[in-house]
Amino acid sequence: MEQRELTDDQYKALVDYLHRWGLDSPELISEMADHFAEKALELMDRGHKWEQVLNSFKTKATYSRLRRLEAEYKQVWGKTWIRKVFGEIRNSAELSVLAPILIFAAGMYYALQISWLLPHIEMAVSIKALAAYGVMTYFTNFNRRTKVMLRTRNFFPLLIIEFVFFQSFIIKIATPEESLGNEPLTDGLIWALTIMVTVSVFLNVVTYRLMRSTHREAENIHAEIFQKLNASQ
Amino acid sequence: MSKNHLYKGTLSAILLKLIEEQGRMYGYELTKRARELTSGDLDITEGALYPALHKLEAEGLLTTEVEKIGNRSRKYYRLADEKGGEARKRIDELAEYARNLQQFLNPKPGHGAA
Repeated sequence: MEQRELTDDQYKALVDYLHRWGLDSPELISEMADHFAEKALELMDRGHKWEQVLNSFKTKATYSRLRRLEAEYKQVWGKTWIRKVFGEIRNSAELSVLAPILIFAAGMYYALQISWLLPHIEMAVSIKALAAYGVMTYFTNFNRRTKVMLRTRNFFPLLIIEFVFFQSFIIKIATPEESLGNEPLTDGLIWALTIMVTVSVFLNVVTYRLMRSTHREAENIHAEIFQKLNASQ
Repeated sequence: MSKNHLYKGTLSAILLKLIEEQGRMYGYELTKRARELTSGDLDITEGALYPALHKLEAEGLLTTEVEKIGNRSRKYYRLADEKGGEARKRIDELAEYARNLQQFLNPKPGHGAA
């Protein structure tokens, strides 16, 4: 009788075989398990027994093919990781531009004596932007120990950027309150507000980009966990 | 006897063409279809198929979706909408290559004669 699907034990044996014979990446094991399961079912349809089929896979040629496949898989996705790293360098470069702008804005508020609070908030934001730049540069250049680290490190700078993002809101909210009753609307204040809005837009763009890339990372990690669970079934 | 070596260099374009025709395909399905179409001449091994698919995926020409089939997961490949032009270009290049090859095998009489 034609067997339509491998039993759980057969599938486990197949996954175990692929793992022992050179595959390491969960996603690749899952994909190859499907490939070899189809192959096995085809051979079993022709009357071969499961044990015979599994033994027929255990050849030197298959071993070297699987090893090469794993190496090529890592190479292909490694290149993609390099691209992502370059993407982050670009993000951190944006921050390195952003921080001096904020410092300049803080200096302007101070010079124009618009308020006492705003320059301090701006300086705090600038320091955080610079810290984020430093952290991202550090993780980009010096911390490449494992692929897992490459993935998780995206989350840490995001947290810092989120603080910057929310502080930009605080600035926006704080400004009208500062001007009410204390200072009439002057050209200087309008100019300062324009700078603040521009800075906020910059912050929002950077945050959005990082959130988007982090969301993608989260999706990849979920997919990997899903594959691992399947592989261990 | 397998003539796989003759298809070397055109594998990516062949895979794109097969996937374009079917909408979406998984790895083993691609090897089966290639065998059927070439009467067994082209037997794509997993060592050639998957690196080619993963490279196309990394280049953004293919997108993937994973579906649960029985007790295993199946990864389907389909052409990426945003890079449809690039995929089409590669398929066209394959067609042009086949036409040129035909010119070598069956040169038109008088073509290039003084």
